[in-house]
Amino acid sequence: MIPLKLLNRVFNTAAFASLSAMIIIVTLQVYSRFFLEVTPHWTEEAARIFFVWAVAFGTGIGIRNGDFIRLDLAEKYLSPRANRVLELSTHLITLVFSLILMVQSWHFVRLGMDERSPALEVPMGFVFLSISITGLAIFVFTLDSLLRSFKKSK
Amino acid sequence: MVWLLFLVFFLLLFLRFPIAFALGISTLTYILFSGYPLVIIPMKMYSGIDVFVLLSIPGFILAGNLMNSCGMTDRIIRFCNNVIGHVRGGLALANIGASMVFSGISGTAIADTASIGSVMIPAMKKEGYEADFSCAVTASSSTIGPIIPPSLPMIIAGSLTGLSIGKLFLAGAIPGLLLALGFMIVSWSISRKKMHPKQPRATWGQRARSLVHAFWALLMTFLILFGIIGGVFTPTEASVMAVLYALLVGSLFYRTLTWKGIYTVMTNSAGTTASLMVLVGFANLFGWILVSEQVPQGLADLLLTITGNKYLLLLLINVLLIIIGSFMETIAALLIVYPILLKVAVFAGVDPIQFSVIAVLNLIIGLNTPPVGVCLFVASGIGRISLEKVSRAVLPFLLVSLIVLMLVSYIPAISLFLPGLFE
Repeated sequence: MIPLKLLNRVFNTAAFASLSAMIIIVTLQVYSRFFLEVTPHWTEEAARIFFVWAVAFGTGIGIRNGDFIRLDLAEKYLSPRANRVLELSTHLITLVFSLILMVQSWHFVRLGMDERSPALEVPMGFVFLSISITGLAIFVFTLDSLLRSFKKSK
Repeated sequence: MVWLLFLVFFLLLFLRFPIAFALGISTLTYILFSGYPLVIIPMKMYSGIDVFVLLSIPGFILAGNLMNSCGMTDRIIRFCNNVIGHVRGGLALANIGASMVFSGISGTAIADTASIGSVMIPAMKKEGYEADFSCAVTASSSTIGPIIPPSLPMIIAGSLTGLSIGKLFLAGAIPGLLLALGFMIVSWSISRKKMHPKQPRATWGQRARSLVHAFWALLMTFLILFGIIGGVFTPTEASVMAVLYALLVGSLFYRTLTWKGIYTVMTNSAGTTASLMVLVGFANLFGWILVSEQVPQGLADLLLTITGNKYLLLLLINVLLIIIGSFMETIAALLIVYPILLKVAVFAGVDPIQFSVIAVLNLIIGLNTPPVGVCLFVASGIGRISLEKVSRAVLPFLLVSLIVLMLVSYIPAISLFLPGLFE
């Protein structure tokens, strides 16, 4: 239904690339402070941009790996059937929420297109796009869990 | 109207939504009813995440995972076992010691429980320790992790308040050592009563060899700590240096890291980081609503009308934080209530650094108290024993944590002495 393998690979690769870029840029910052005459003024900003992008793509991985912490208070007191209904409805509500997040972050991106970052002069809209990707990641990987729990209940 | 925010939030928590989404969805509900523009959601989420200090979190998580995957955990455990294993209940003591060393590279308690527990709990059971005791020792000793530097909760505390992260790190060091010492005393006296096994005494040669093997882990903590405190690195830079260090040690000295291994560790660390950062983002949104509805001010006024006395106020805050900590995960609780309570405490004359240590201690005690003791949960899973039994076995250790908490609350020097040296 959804090409999970492809999505996994896209999110993994993009998260890996963003995180690596962040590490390389911070290393460059340290290196230039110790060994070069001039320290580039753009490193902190660039590292921050790659960080928010790493978070955006990492969100997909985090949901897939079950890294998002939740409480398991209700589980013990409910029947298996009630638990399954609960699971399906939490997924559905999360899906709606992530859609709203995506739509709203798109407005946020458009607002940011006129604004430029101080050092690199990147349109901030591109940076804010990371929040849309976060929303997308929540949507796609929650949809995947939803479909899987549907299959389980059949 | 704020009651709606809290009502929906707690309802969602109870219905097993991840804490991050419970924060986001409850704020969404509130916004829909109160007429704020919805675009506030991505805006506040972004501004919560886009903070330079927070970049140190993926760094420290990644460094810890790299060290872990290159076999550092086993080396640390072997070293501690060689030093202290011959005492009665030696394996339990080695467990606590290993947690203390490991905490220098990990910074979160759950990682600590999982990685040390998966080696130590089966080993202890095999030697004849009771499963509940083994799990209790592992769960409680891993709470030393978030208080000994580098500490993720302290980074978050620094990012929320602008307090120096180097000083916050230092302030947690002595309380962390006190916890370890207290746990060891309790563990040793239980072992003497129950006649837990000893191990053959290691020779000094064996000890020296295992020290060399574990040396790189110990060195990493010192490099991070002195790099930040000496003003050589910012916390973010220090965390990236820790990553390079772990890569170097793992690939050159231990030769256990492969490209594929590094890739997996990096993507998984990105996932862990993101799950924390999405939480940070939504908590920022949630907190913004609280501030614009003047909830912190209201709570502060309420607390100050109950008592203006510094010591009573601290006691009150401690009780409040322990209750919150036993229901909420450390970072989430820190994000939401710490800034509010810090204001109250500072108003009453408590040093902000000391208060940060108190807050983090309270919240990590919550990791080992039902109903939401995350570490208890992980440990009981590894030890294959019911949560109830572990919860009972952990009680003497909880008592130690509470004593340390009281000491830190009422003797400022315990937390402020080390940072004071670097004034």
